[in-house]
Amino acid sequence: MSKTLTIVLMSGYQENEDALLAVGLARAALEAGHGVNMFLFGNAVNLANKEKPIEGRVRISERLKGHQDIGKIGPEIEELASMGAQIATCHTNEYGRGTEGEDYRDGVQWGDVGETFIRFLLTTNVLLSIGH
Amino acid sequence: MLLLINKTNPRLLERISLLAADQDPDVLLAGDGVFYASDFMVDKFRDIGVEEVYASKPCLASRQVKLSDKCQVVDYDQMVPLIMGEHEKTVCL
Repeated sequence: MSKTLTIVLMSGYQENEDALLAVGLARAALEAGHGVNMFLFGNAVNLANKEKPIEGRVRISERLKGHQDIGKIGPEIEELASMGAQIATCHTNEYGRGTEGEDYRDGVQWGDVGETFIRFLLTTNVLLSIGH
Repeated sequence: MLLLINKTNPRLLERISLLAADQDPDVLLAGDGVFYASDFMVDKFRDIGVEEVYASKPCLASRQVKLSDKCQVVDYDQMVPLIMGEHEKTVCL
């Protein structure tokens, strides 16, 4: 039977593997025919925004860049949205990190706890919070 | 109840006992949590009432863990039914 999973992700994508776990679970749930909501909270709001091109010299080595790129899963967030996942941020957490108002990745929606998250909860069967 | 353990914690067994020992929980190890997939820790889990212990295949792949044969290795597609159907709730510890 198809159900809806809401994942509250509270970790950013360079601090641990929580974002990789959330994306892997979300994709598998979608592929199994379930609905997925993902609410980006805390440092996870940094998954919501488009990356800005680096101006000037790029100082990171190719080897270190390869290591860092493992955790850069922003494009996978867009892919999940294109597969039907509802993905929203908490704008208060964005404000606290100085990113409110920046461009979102395709498929990511502005959100808040009082309305967006409540809407997710009202339409979900399974709630899973992932954080450290 | 399914306990998703995604990090190490020196008081983990105490937390499980407080939260879920009377519910015969299952455990899903992911992230650094897969370091608990050893014989020693699986026996500790069993001692406090944990039934099944699952460990994330992708997280094991990036770590050198001496995996207990009492652990079931699961990929994301096998985690989904554990979370969506086989357990009433999943709690991340």
